[in-house]
Amino acid sequence: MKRAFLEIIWPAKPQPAQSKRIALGRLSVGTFFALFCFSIIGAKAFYLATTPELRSQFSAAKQTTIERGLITDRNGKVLATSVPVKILHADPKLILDPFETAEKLAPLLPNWTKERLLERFAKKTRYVELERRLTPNRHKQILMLGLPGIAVSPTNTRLYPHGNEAAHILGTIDVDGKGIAGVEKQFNDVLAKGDSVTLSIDVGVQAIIRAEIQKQIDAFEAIGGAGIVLDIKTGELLALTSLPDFNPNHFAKAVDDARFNRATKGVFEMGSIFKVLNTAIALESGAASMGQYYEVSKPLRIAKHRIADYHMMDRDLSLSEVLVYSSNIGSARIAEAIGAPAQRAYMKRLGLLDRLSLELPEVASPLIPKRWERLSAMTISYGHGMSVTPVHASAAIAAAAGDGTYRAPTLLKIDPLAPVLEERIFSADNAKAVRSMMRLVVSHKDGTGNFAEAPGYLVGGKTGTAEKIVNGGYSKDKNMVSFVGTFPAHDPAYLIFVMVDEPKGQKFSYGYATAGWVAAPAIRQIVEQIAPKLGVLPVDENAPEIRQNLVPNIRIGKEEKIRAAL
Amino acid sequence: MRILLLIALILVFSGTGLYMTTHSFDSRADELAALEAQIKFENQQSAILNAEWSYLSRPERVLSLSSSLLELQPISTDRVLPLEAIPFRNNASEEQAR
Repeated sequence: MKRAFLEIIWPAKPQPAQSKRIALGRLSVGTFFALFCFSIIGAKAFYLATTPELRSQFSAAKQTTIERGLITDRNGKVLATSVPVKILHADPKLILDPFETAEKLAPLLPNWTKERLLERFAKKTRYVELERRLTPNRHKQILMLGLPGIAVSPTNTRLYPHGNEAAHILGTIDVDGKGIAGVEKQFNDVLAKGDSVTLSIDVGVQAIIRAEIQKQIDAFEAIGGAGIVLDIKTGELLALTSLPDFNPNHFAKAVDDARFNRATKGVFEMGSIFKVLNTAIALESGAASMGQYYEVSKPLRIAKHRIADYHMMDRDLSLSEVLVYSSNIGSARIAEAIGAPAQRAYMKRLGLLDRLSLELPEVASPLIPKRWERLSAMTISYGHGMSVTPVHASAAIAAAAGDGTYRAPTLLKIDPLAPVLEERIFSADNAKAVRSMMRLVVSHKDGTGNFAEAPGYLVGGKTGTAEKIVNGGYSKDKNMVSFVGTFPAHDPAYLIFVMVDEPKGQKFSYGYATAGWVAAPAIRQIVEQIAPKLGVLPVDENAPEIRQNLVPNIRIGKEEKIRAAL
Repeated sequence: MRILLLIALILVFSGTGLYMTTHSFDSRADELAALEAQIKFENQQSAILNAEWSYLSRPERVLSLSSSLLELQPISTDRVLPLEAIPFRNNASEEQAR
């Protein structure tokens, strides 16, 4: 056998008779060898092709991180976005010369000193975070230093390009990327999925209202303020600001007062701006009519309470005059005619008794009297004895000063084609009467809101000066002044609310720090700047098509009343 | 013998075929992953540019730029008229003029 095998491979002496047998033998050995090799290759190929663990190491790993969605304003301007940044960190174990490293790094890191770096490098840790948001420039500089043990790793950071502009609306996120305030918190689930949120806010309008209120705060040395621009016809908030505010890019540095959202979380006695609601409710409930007069010459005494006016009048005032002159006594008398239960029912329908429903976590419930009695009704008529948020007040007054329907305020952009949810509360005629009276507050020479007049834009409004409650009693010198304005008065499209907290009388204001001096001028500035942006054209107030949308010949003032009597 | 040979050949061809298919699938998956990484990178870059644009076009900056670079003032309201306020060309008077 051994000889036969050897003979096939290496025949000692080829013999013609054996040559065929040798050839066949060689062929089959070669065939089996080749088959054997190919079988191994085939089996290996099967093995590789059908084992997923082996395959995946050759293909790139799938990206699984989802970037947090955008928050944009109504025109698509980016208010919050996620951008890739580099984290700079050190591994003290790999640092060769801690002293040299600290000396070279310290000038490039604004948050660190050489001493603190050395201190951290001496610790027994493998990870020291040096900078969370490394700018590309500094990244380059640090790479150039070529320091061992210093490394960068990529991550995402939340960026708020507009800084303080819409801080209270946007809120912020924590280090784990979870929303902890504002829209970031309210819509955390949506944003975490990578979807974006489009707000009703217009950054341009927001910037204007914020700047104008800040001007008044500075001019009158006030401690804070709030402002709102509301689209009366849809309920969308075009601007919502609370001052002082903070930079959401550096939320940790913000003090509590700056984080507090006065417009949605702060509840205040709104003062005289409530008289707009009182007038509207009086007309709608039938408790008053335009021709009615009220005796206001003597302060009212109810139990131990005294209701007086800022300027006492020695004659009876009409319903319109009660609003234009802002008479507390007149308002209280009107409220008495309405009655507490009816007043409460209207306030309920205007959303003033429920927790503010707005797409923010920072919302407050109103403070309302436990027992809504005669005295409560009388003080609430001029905005005392009940505290609501500025957004509450704005939405309710928008119903009375607009076309009589209430629309819940929203921070989300509304699809213009979608039906608007609205509830009619005041008839069209009564709404027309209310807006005509509000126009007179600004346009009539005796009105309290003259400084809000923006020629051509037909501003209507109401001033409110409320004494703040300090240590359980009303303070004489600490006021909360506000102005609620609408324009254009013949077809109110937008409502502006401005509130300034604790303004102090100035020389140029003759010592006054009332709403007419502090808040009304801001309204004029705001209207003149936002009206062109919002497509509101100036009109001629005396044009017939404008006049037919306002109640004509409302009599204000003594002489006119006498003339009317003649 | 012949059957054995046939089975071995089938095994070789199908094995190689399967391997080649999965290999081309893998290389395409790599290509896809590379493209996805590229898209992600481009998206990040555009996010940065969008953020920068949003930052550069913030109202306070535009306001300060326009007040320092443009000699434009807000239009006073008496200069704004609705389109209807402009009368149509009077054909009769024009013909008279001719």
